[in-house]
Amino acid sequence: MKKQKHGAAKRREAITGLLFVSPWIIGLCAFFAFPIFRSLQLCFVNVVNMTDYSVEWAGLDHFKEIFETDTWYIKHFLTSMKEMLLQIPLTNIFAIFIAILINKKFPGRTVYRTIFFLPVILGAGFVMSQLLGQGVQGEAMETVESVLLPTQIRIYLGPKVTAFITDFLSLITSILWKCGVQIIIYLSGLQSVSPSLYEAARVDSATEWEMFWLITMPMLSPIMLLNLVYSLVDFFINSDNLLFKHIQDTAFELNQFENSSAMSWLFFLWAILLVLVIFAVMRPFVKKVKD
Amino acid sequence: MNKLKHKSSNGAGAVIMRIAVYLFLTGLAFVFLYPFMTMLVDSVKTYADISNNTVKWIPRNFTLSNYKLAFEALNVWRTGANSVIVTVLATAGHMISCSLVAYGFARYRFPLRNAMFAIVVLSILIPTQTIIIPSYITYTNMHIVGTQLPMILPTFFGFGLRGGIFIFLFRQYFIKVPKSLEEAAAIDGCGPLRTFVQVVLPSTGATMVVCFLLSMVWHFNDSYEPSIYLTDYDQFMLPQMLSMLSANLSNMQGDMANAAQNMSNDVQIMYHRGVVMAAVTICLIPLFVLYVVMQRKFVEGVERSGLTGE
Repeated sequence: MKKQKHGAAKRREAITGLLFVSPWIIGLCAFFAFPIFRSLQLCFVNVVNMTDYSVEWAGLDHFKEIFETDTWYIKHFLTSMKEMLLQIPLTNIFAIFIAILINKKFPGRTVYRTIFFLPVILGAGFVMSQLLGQGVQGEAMETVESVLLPTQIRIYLGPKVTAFITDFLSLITSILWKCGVQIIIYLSGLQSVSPSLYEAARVDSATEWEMFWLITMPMLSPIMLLNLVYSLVDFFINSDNLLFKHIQDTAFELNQFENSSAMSWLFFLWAILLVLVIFAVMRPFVKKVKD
Repeated sequence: MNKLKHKSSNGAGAVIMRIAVYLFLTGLAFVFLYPFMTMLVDSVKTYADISNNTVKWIPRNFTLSNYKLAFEALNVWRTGANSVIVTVLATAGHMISCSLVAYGFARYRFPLRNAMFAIVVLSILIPTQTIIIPSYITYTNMHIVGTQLPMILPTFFGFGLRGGIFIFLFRQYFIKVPKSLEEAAAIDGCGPLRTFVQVVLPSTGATMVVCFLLSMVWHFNDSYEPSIYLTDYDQFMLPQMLSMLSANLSNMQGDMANAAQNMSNDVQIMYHRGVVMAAVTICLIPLFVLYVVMQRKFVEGVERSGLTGE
């Protein structure tokens, strides 16, 4: 039967599919292809005249410059990678944790859910940076700290340990404010896990801990892949990123558009590589749900 | 006997566990809420209260003058209307185009499909800032710089502010939808587009709500693209005005501004803090209302779409 679905039917399927995708193809040609082409082109040329955009071939000069003369690029790159290695796992661990907590049925969970999703709504963008610019983040930490670490304990621990804990706490605060989207995605994933699985496990007297590792985690794995990729992308296009600021300063303050372009393309190649690595590493663990 | 004992200890453990969970959640909730509480409280404080360290949560002199100033400095009615129009149109664009395109990617095989989807992912990874200059040239050639169209038009074609993410999310959902419904519709003589609109789309529930909410919020909060493409004061949007707030305030206050100019930077931030907080609050009100409405829809959407498996 299936072999008959050749020729005409296949062609019709292709045409229908292309029709569905056609708005995107038009958009690609109209809004995306040219800017991408230009910014790629900029990596390899020098602009001679800005008004009529005449260019001359420069080869790999701009990439050489990044590694040879730009002292900041690699430094910022390493810093932001270090940040990423800390942030992405922590964001996801917190998000899973909070999602599981508010997925449990208890009185008042709607209130908590509302609160935890607040930063997504209110904190994405300029508003939050206004708030953070006013030093609100530091104040929040001071309050939490004074509850967690009374002065006596602080004195007992000594300044080094205290500083470490303070840094860790403020890291956690900023992560908490950023993980709203991830919480929502995990929550929708958790709610798609069939309750009958847990009931069956409970009949077999499984503990909560076993159920978490043997039911929740495998069922969440596709969602986790999605979330890891989302966190990565979010990290890379976040304009608070130091490297990103450097790239922009190069373009708009030093007027070195060619260098800036080369820098950002290098950064994206790296981002794309990381996404591929995540896919490759996660794929064996992602449980395929077959209907 | 043994069983009973086990059960009772389990009960006590459960109560302790429950209290611990509540305490933990409340602690977390505090961290989440702190900035917003500070914002609300500071927006009704006078300068004397803000500069006074002993006044924290309860202002001594309650005042609404900050709001009055912020209202004028933001030019709220005009700016707010601009923001709302752009946000609503752009979100509509994203919802229509991204769901349609994602369905095409998820259900049909056609040449270059994977290559095209790779470009979708690429379009997510590339920030607006990087391609802003060539984009500006493109829109200049279309003669739409100086209008709101550069923010709105691309969204109807699956691009615009993080459009790729929505295509990705919708596709993720459509892949999981069992084909049986669509096959039934096709047997009944339903064309592909009608099947999509009447059979598949109504089941999107939660995904739709999440995408809708995120698109709304991101558009409403974005200040980068408007600051590049809008040149006319009458077209400015709220976040853009927020970033110009201090300058506007100085102009409005006249001699008070002269006093402010003699202060150090820190003091100046402190000096305007009440008004800034009031302005931020005003900008957040539409989002907050939207959120309260959508929050319920979100829960309903998850339940109605049958995602829960019950």
